[in-house]
Amino acid sequence: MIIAGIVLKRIVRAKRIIALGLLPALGLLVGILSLRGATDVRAAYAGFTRGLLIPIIIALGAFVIGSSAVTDEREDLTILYLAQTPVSRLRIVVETWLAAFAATLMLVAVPTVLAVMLAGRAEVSMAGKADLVLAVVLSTAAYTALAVALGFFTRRAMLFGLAYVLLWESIVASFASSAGNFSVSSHARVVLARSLDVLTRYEVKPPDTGVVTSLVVLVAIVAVALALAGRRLQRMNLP
Amino acid sequence: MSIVVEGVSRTFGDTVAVSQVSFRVGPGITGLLGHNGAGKSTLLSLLAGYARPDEGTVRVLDADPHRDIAIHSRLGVVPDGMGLWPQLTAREAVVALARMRGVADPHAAAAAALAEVGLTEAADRRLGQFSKGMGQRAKLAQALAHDPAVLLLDEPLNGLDPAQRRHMIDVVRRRAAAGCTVLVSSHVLHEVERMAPQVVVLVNGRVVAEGETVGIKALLRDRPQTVRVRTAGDARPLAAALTADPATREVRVGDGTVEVDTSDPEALGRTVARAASAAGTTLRAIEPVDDDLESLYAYLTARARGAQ
Repeated sequence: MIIAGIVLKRIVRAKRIIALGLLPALGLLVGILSLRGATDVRAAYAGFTRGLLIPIIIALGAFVIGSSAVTDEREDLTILYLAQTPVSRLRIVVETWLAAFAATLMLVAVPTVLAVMLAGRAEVSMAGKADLVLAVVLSTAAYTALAVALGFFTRRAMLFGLAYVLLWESIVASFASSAGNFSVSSHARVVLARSLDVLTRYEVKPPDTGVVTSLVVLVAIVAVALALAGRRLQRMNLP
Repeated sequence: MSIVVEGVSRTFGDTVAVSQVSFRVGPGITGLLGHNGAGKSTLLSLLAGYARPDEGTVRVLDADPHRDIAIHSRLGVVPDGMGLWPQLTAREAVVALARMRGVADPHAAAAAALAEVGLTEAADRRLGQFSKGMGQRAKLAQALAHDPAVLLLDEPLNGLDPAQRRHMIDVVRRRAAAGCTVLVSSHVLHEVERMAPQVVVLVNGRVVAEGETVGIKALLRDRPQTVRVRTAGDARPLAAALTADPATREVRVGDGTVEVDTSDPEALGRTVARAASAAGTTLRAIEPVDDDLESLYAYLTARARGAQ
């Protein structure tokens, strides 16, 4: 875990971490306000977690942290020092992802999820909270894996990542059911729908894939993204 | 041979960085001399395994450094320009890389390497706070900590003051004396001369000369050169006297100056003093006109093509 440690230190000491702190703060504010003012707390809770928390707050945090974890190494050329070791290229990718995943969980997901859970605690069952944790952990893993992989394919990973989050994950896949099979947030919604089957006005029904399938899809996204990134790093000419 | 480069070419878009380069390097220090943009860094990045050649083969300790990553436990590289992680201390960075390279006791190895480059006192400071010279020494420490059999140093003396340069050269010499193969690039001839008994000269991506550094130096010293002599008054009597010198090829007279194209600059130096005395001319300065690297490399290039 040497590489993960180095990357994690770089992430938490970067100046952008201050801007990133706004994400959970925004999430907390919107979440608490929507839950406090709601007549149906359960529906508001489901709407917030499925419509804002996962496809926007966590996705944005994951892409900012995940893509910069790679592009910072590439731009500063410190990746050359990692390439000067007998460590497999796949391990370099996996440890970079682990650092980005841990940082996104710590800095974005955990504070937001805890606050939202506390705000909606009276109306949401333990099963609902467990599903929320599962969906958040898996979608954070998938988004950070996609972000890290993107970082090895392009130096503009953050730009492409933010476009993907804002256009596809938060708009197209949330409101067009046919696109749901190809988005992280839709499969996270399947996991959440198990215990929070209340749909808000603007939500479409989650893909009819079944919880197990969606869990497998989310794990597969992580595995495929990291494998592709490892292959890319092995073949690419540095810097 | 520890390093074998055979028929290597590498292009970046329309730019040919190195073309049909071949050479072999054994234990000891070998200089890779060339002007900026000659292809030295490209060649070292191919040897470090960062990139693959478009043509030809690169072998380090009988392995392909791009594909056989296990070789990196026996290879140390100091890249030009790029520093280590600024958020880490020098000790943290050197320990981390030593551990990744399979060193049994990375803390002891890092401490020894940092002491070797003179960074013991600064070892626990963050690299982001280091001066360029300190950063350069930290880079060398990470390349030494795993006791490599081959060291690739890209312009290692950049950013160092004279004392640090001497120290760096001593460290490299000690490693070479212990059996390490060192390939060190530089665009400064006298730096290579101080460090390396063997040299490979690159010009515009091609090897134009290789062999013992003293031989290359002699070759450069004996090449035709232009020397400018500044005088206190009329330079014509001196110019007339110099025309008679057998090594003189052409003489041009200006306002208080004489420019002489000569095939023997050292002999000209002796002749000028005598001729000035005989002509009653006071000398102000004698200076080479084209004693810069570009003209040296141009000469070697022309010579490699058989033009001289």
